[in-house]
Amino acid sequence: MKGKINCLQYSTMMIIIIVSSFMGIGIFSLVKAAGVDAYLSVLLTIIISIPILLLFLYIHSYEPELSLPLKLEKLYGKKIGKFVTYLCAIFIFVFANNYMFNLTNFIVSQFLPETPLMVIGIVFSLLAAYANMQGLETISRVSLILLFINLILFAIGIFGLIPSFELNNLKPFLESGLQRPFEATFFVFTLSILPMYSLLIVPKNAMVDSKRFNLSVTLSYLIGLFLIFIFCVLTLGILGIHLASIYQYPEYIILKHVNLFGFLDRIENIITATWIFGLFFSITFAIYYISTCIVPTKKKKTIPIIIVTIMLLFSVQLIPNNTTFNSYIYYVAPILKIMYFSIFIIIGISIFIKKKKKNT
Amino acid sequence: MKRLRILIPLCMLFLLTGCYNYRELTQIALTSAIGIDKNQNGEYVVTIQVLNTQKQGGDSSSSNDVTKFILYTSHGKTLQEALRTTIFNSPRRLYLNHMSLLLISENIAKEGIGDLLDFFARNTEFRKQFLVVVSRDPDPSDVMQVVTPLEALNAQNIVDSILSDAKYYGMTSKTTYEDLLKSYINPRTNIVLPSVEYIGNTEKGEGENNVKQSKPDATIELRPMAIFKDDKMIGYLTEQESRSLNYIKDKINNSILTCNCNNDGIFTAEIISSKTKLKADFEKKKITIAVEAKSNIKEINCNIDLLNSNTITEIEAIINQHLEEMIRDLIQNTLQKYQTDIFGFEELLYKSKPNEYKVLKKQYGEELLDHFDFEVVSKINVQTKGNIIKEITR
Repeated sequence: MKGKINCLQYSTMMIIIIVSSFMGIGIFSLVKAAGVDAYLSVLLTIIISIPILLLFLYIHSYEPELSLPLKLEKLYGKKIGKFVTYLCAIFIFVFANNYMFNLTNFIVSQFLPETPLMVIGIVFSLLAAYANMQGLETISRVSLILLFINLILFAIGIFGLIPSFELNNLKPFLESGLQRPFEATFFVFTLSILPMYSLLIVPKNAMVDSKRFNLSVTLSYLIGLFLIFIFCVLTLGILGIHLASIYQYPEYIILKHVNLFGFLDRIENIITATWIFGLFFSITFAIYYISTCIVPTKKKKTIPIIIVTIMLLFSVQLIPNNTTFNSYIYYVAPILKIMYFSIFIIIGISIFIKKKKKNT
Repeated sequence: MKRLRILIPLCMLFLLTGCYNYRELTQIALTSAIGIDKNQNGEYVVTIQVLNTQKQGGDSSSSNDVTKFILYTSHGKTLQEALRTTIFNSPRRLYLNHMSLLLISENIAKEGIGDLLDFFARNTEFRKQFLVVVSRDPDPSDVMQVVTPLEALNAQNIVDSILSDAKYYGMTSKTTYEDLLKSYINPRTNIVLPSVEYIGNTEKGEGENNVKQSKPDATIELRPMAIFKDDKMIGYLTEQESRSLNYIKDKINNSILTCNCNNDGIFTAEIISSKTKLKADFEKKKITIAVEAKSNIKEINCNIDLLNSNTITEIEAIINQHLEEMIRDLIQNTLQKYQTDIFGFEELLYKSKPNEYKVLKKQYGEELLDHFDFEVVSKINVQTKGNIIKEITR
C-alpha cells in the first residue's frame, strides 16, 4: 500500500484546491462582474460546470493506472505527449505563481508590512519542497489534517458571523436579470473549477478504494463550491456590495466581525489560517504536479527545491504590486485558464476517438 | 540528500522564530482614541489618546497619582503624516488596533469628512469597528482631556455612554467606522453620527481632581445626532428627532415615551421589543413605516382609571398617536429643511424595485422623495402597568 492514497485524501485535496484557488481573488472578480448577485454565480456554476466535472472523470478513467504524463505519452506518442505534458506544467507553474503571490501579499499586507515578500515566501517554499520530497502519500495526509483543522475554523467563523449577517444587504435580487451572474460564472469556473484538473496527475489506481472514486470527486466538487457560496453570501451579507467591492480581501475583513457568545472575538487571524493552509497546500500540490511532469516515474528529491526556488523568484519579481496582480487575475488569468482547459478538451476528444477506433 | 533533509528544517527553525517585524509592548503606544480637527493652514490636527502603561499597580496611593492616559497632538497635511509625526513628542510608535473612538470636530464635519475616510479604510492596523462621533466643541482635544469618574479612559466613557444610550434610550445609535463608510459610499444613503459636548470648566476637567469630587467640574455629555448631506454636516437633530430617526431605522431596542394624558398631566411608557418595517409602494407612491412594540407603563401623573379596560386602549392610542406624530414631524422637517435622506428611503425604494427606482430617480432627481407620501403606523401594546393598579391620590 505504500505510495497509495485513499479517496478521502483525494477528496480533501480537491476541496482544498477548489476553495483556496478562489480565496483572496475570487470575490473581488465576482463582485466586479456580478455585483450584489455574485453569490448566485456560484450556484449557477455548480450546474454549468457539471460537463467539466464529467470530462475530468472521463479523462481520469482512461488508463487508470497511469498518471497524466504517461497517459499523454500513450495517447499521443512520446514526443507530442511530452510536449503536451510540459505545456500543462508551464500553465500550472503560472497558476502556482498566483497562489504564491496571493499568499505572500496577503500576509505582508495584513500582518507583516515590514517583512519582505521573499522571507515569507521562503518559509512556505521550504515547507512545500519538503512535503514534496516525502511524496504524494505525505502530501495527501497533510491535506487531510489541514481539511479537518480548516473545517473546525470554518465552522467557528460561520457561527461567529451569523449575528452580523443582514439579509437586506443581498438585495436587490437579480437587478439586471440573470445575465450578469451568468457572465460571472466564468470567474468561478476559471478560478476554482479548472485548478482541480491538476489532480489528474494522480492516477485513479493510486487509490486503494478506487471504486468510490467518482462519488468522492462529485461530492468534493459540490462541497467545494458550496463552501465558496457560503463565503460569498457571508461577505456580501455582512459588508454589503459597496464595502465588499472596495476591499482587496473582503473575506478577511468580514472575519473581524466574528463574535462567538459575546466574548470570543478578535480571532480573525486564527480563522485566516484556513486560507493560508489552503494556499500553502495548493502550492505544494502544484510543485508535485510539475515535478511529476518532469520526472513521471522516479522519486523526486532535488526537483521540488529547484521548482520552488524558480517559482518564488518569479512570483516576487514578476508581479510588482497587487494592482498589477488584480488586473492580471481579472483580464489575463481567465484567458490562460481557458487555454489550459482547451488542452483537456482536446485530450478528452482524443481519448474518445481512440476508444472508438479501438472498439471498431 | 540526508544533509538537505536536516538543513531544510534547520533553516525553517530560524525563520519561524517570529522575531522578524516584531514590536514589543514596551515599544508601542496603545491608542484608545483619535480626535481630528484642522488648523488655520488647512492642516490636520490630530489629538491622540494613548494608554499610560507606566506601572500603576502595587501601592494604591501612588497608583492614583499616575494619569491613566496621555494626550499627544501633532499636525500634518495628511492624517498619516500627522499621526506619524506624533513620534516627535512620543517615544513610542502608535499602535492603532485597539482604538475605540474617532472624534471628528464640528468644523471638519461641516467642511466634509470624505477625505478622512480613506486613511482609516486603507490602513490594515485599524479594526473598522471603532465608533465615530462628532465633537460639538471647536477643539476635540477639549473633550479628550476630560478625566471621567467611572471609566479610566474617557474614550471608553463615551463608547459606553453611546452603547448604554442605544440600549436603553435610543437618542443615539452605535455607528462604527464601517457603518459610516457604508453610508458614505452608498449614493442612496446619508451619514448620521452621534455627537458629544464638553460640559463644565475646561481647565479643571483635565486634572485628576475632576474624579476626586462627587460632582465633577467637567463631564462629557452625549448629544443628539448630527446629520449630513453627502459628506458635509448640515445640522443637528433634536433629542426627540434623534429617537424618531432610530425608530425609523429600527435601531430602538428599549426606550421611553412621555405623552400627554387626555385630560391633563403626563405619563411615561417604556417601549420594549420595538420592530420597524419599511414598505415601499411604487404605484401609490407611498412609503409605509410600521412600528410594532410592547410597552410598560412606568409613571402616571394624571387621572387615569387603570382598572377600566377601555383606559388601556386609550393609553395605547395616545402612545401610538404620539409616536406617529414624532416620526411624521421628523420626516417632514428633515426633508423640507435639510433636503437630505437620512432614513435610507431611497435605498429602500432601490432595493424594492431597482428598475422602477432608476426611472423615478431620473425623472425627479433630488426631489424624488417629495413625490412620495409617508404613512406611519404604530402598533404599541401596553403589556404591564407596574406594581400598582390605581393612581396615587389622597
